[in-house]
Amino acid sequence: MNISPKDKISTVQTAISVTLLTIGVSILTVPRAITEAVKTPDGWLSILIGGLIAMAGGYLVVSLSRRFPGKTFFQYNQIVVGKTVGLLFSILLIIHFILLSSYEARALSELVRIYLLGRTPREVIVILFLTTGTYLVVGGINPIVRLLEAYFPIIMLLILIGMMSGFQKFELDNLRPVLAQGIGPVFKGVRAVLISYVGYESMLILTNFMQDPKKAFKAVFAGISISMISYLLIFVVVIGMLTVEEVQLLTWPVASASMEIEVPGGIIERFEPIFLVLWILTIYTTFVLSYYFAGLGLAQLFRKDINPFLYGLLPIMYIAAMLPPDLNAVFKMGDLNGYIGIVSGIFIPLILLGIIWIRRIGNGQK
Amino acid sequence: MGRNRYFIGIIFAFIFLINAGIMVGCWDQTEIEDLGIIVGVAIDKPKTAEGKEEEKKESERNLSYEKHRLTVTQQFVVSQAMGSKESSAGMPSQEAYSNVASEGNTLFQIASQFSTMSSRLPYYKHLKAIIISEEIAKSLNLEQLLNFFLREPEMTRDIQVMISKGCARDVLEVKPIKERLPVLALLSLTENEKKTARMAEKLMLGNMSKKMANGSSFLIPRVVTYGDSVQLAGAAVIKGKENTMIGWLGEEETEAINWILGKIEGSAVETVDKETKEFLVYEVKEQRSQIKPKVEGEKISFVVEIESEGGLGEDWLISGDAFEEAFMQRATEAIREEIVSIIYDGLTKTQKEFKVDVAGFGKQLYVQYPEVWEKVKENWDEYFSTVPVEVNVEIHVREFGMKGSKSMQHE
Repeated sequence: MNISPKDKISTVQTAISVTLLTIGVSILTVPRAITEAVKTPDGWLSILIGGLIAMAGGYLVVSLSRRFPGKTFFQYNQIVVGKTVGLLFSILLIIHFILLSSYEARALSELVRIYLLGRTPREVIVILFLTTGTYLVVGGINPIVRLLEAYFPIIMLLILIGMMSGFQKFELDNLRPVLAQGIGPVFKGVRAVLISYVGYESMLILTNFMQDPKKAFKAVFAGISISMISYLLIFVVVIGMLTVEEVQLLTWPVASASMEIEVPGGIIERFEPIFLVLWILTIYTTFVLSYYFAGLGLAQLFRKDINPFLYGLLPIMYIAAMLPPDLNAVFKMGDLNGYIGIVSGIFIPLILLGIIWIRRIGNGQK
Repeated sequence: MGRNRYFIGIIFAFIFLINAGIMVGCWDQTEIEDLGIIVGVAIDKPKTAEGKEEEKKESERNLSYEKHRLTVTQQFVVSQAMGSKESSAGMPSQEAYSNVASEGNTLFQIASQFSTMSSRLPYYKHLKAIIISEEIAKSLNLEQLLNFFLREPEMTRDIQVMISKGCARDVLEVKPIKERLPVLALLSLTENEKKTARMAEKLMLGNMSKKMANGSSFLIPRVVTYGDSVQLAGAAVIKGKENTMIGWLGEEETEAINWILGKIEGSAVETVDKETKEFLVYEVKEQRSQIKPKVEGEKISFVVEIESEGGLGEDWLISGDAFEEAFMQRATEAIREEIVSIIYDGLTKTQKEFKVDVAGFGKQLYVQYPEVWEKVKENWDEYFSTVPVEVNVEIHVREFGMKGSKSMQHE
């Protein structure tokens, strides 16, 4: 299955896709994931350094993909490393996307149970979520990116409004002192934060959906930068509101911070429902993209039409989403998947590029 | 063919109708009339040994039973009475609230017991205040006690926490005159911190959780009941890490801590003029403070810079003439001395007697000298009691109101 001309997407759409695939459940847990590793208020430095590493990864991924115009990772990796290894790489990436979408669906059901529908079974929420996703995904890449384009300003606006209103309880002293224990802890945080940057590896596929693949570097850097700025904003505001010590003790630190915001004038007593819209949107966008990529990967492996694979993925994603018995297992699943993401976003492109460099194959970047 | 279409159309219409019934989002719906909205919770030690016989059998199962025994009183809103107007014929109208008490070991267990006692489902989303009795606060770790409220997603983090002198239930029993619910009357009292410095800064559950996470000592507002009125003044001192109450701060001592924290939005300071022995009252309008840690070698010390602006609110001096610069300077000096002595009194009480740091001195040391803090943080409260603190107060009396002088002196 090759990409038909109507499936081309613009540079802006690509950047938006990278951002929205990156910020999913992670915007809810990123302050805790980092401070648990760093233990000082310097986590924002880890976010910056992590962002730079992700950009380096993005550079690798794009420069690899641009050597094979019109082909996605699933199609060109076999040219480089041969059938068997290429198949393994493809399967790893497909598993990564399946796990990512299952993780997002499950985490959403946990959140909805906490804040909205306390007695609705998880199964129902996950099934509804998966089916609404399918409805969008069977339309192909274009409806997906157009929807993302529509959601993107809403998501960014909600993040901005939410974090701005957090400033009423913000204390700068909670972010000080800077680098009290040197730069060491910051690097511990980088490892934790890299998981949250997983998402740019989608450029292995997206690059060749672009109308103008020359601008792929621009798109991936813009995408990663926007996620980095969002993470920075959320981290700074949440730590400023809650302190480093408290953030480590909370299950959903960003949600708890939103519970502390008082709406001036008391028009509405509880602010979290507005945030819930934000979480659902970000989680949904991550979910549909990874779901589509998983389906696309399978379709290209078997050289068949994509739709049967998309429907076939539903039960698999449902089972994977229901697999973790409790919330700790859910978070572990997310972390594990993050590591797979790092492998497919940094190490696999490095290996492939190395082989290409030695064997001098591929074209398109002359 | 036409008939077939017609048939399919009917089937589709039927499916849509069924769907409309099934798919409306009412899974978790509860009518508001069926909810027992809880606005306040009071936690006490059980008063007497009623029902002890039965419990003794149970307590053999768990020896720590006795220590953890709690009585929880919840204030339910009676929604019908909330809307109705006072009857004009002097008929006693229905109370807008009802207090229900239950006993148990853990708060969650007690909360679920309420479902057996109340005709409405207990609903905590509008919980506004938690009042803990002195006895409980002195004997239990508050982090353990309040864990339920922080864990339960139904509760927000802006529930106010207070410690009652005496029985906490009494606070919920005081029938307010101007408000319909005792808890709301109590909450509107906390808003008055704009007018007085004698109550500790209101403490939200979320802020308390942060302080407990930091292991720092802090103050919780004190609520006192006098017959049929409540007063919010003074504070309970909670020792960090142990998270138990170790004593009370009086109204002036609380004021002292507020001066150091720099959170006063308005207050009155009463002092006596040295020459005439008459009263002078300073009205605080603005106040700022800054805690500056100083480290010289191994020695840590603090300087607290306090600045305040305000006016002369009242003076009893016959010779008092605010149009005269000399008098204003004399008054300013008298006020300044009074404030300094109030602050030192409160500081001595917390620092030397209770040996706690409730004004965030440690935090400033951590922020500015992190490497020094690393050495002393383990035993900071103990260490702090030996640290010298210098207080510098600067007062600007800028206003004296509508009448500056008195007729007596012109006779």
